Amino acid sequence: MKDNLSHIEEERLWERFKEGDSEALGLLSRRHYRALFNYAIKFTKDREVVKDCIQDLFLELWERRDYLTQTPFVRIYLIKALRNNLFRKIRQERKFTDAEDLDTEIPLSDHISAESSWIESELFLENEEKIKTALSKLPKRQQEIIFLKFYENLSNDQISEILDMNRQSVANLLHRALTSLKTNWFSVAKLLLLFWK
Amino acid sequence: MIDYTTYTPEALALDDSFRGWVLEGKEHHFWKNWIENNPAKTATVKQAQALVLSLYQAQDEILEEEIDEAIHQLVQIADKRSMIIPLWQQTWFKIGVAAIALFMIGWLLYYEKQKIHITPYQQVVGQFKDEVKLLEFTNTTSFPQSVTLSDGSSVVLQPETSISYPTTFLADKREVVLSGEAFFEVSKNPNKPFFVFANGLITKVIGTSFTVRAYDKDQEVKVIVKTGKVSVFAQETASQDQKSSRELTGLVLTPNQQVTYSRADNRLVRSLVEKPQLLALPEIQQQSFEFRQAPVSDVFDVLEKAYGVKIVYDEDLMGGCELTATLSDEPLLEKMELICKVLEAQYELIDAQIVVTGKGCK
Repeated sequence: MKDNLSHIEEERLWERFKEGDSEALGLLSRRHYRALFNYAIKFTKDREVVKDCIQDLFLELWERRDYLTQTPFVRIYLIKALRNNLFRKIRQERKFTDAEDLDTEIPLSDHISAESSWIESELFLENEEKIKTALSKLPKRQQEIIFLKFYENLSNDQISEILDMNRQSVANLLHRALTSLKTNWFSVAKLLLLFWK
Repeated sequence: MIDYTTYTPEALALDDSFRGWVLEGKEHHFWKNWIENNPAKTATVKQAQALVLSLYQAQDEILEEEIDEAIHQLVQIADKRSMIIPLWQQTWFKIGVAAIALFMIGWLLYYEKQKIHITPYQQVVGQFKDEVKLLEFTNTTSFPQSVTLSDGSSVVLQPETSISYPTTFLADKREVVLSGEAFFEVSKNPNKPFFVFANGLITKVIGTSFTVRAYDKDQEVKVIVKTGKVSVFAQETASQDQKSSRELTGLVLTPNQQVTYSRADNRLVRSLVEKPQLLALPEIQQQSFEFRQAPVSDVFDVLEKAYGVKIVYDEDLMGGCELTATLSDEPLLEKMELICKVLEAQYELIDAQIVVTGKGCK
């Protein structure tokens, strides 16, 4: 989770980084690594590609440290930079498993009941695998926006900056993502029920 | 204040403040109070909480050990990269080497070009410079221009033509160097043969008029004789004898003959000038300069065009004079001398202009 370093510690770490202290690089990177990994893995199943991309991102900052005036170790900045690198790399390596659905939205399935009982808390929490499966069936862009909203806990404004789309589109996409998730959830649950019977 | 009582679990989960509380414990008092004040909403809150938490947790795809390993690797590579980079791997070193290489290639190319660029003309001029003081004239205009040499010989230069000649000729010979095309009218002096060095070809004359066409870019040199006799020989094979003898040796050309010298195989070919008109020779070589009671202004016009000089005179005073004369291969200044004798006038050379003064003919 988020570690809460004081401003002075933060400042000191940044200074050490600028001076070429590789340990400071490690500490600063450590704080963002998990989030960046969890984000990037939405786009490719190849964990090594993701790790390479994150490593390249931090090494790039390391090599540019003499020219940096402000800390680049800001989550939104890092996410944006990683997103660019990742897309470039995936395009190069053609390892993108299903690139086509990144920008194309699957049309909304029609009968989404207003049932709110779909989130039966216990069942929901206990079945992490199930929700992962439901999530993984969403288009990449919806997975990405759910990540930014619920993992990064970002506001719609911040998300619109990262995804380069307007606020209203962000809100719409989020709504659509939750709705599709609900649909997927039911089909997964049904499968499980059948299996258990 | 937002009314959360109307919110569905999804809407609540999407609310920044609510997620802040669930994920980061922010605004703890507000949400604690709100839940106490809205007991009917307990289920909604629980569902929203579950949604937020499960969507948070479902994102996690990496183990703590994996992260440690990745960070360890990162720090190692960073350390390696900040170590001193070998000289030959440093960017500035590479740039430096490239720059030096480029410079040297450029210099070599330039040098080669310069070498190729030393034309036969420049070569001979270079040799002559050691012996005598040379003047050079280059016709950069688009019309013919004439030069008068110290012995009174005149040379009409076509555009893009250069001539180098001594301020005063040596005692026993007159030597000029030509690049391009020029028509020579050489004043007669049997004791001082006149030599034109042009692109590997030497033309030797005693006194006559002829054209030499020897552009640097051409592989051929042409000598076309109008009057008198000239002898030509290749510079490479010219013996001291040929050059110094007063006899015309080598290949002798008479009027309406021309010789073509091929620089590549050092060969001289003599042929007749078939149709002089068709050779597009400048007017001066075709003209006979025969005037019968011609107004002096016409005569001067013809000479101005033929020699590319400006002749300045008082038109009111002398315009009415008439002239009958047959002029041929005399140099320009000799022609002027003859004309002035008839007109009882004088001429002067001032800044490449010929200024004629006289009483007029009225």
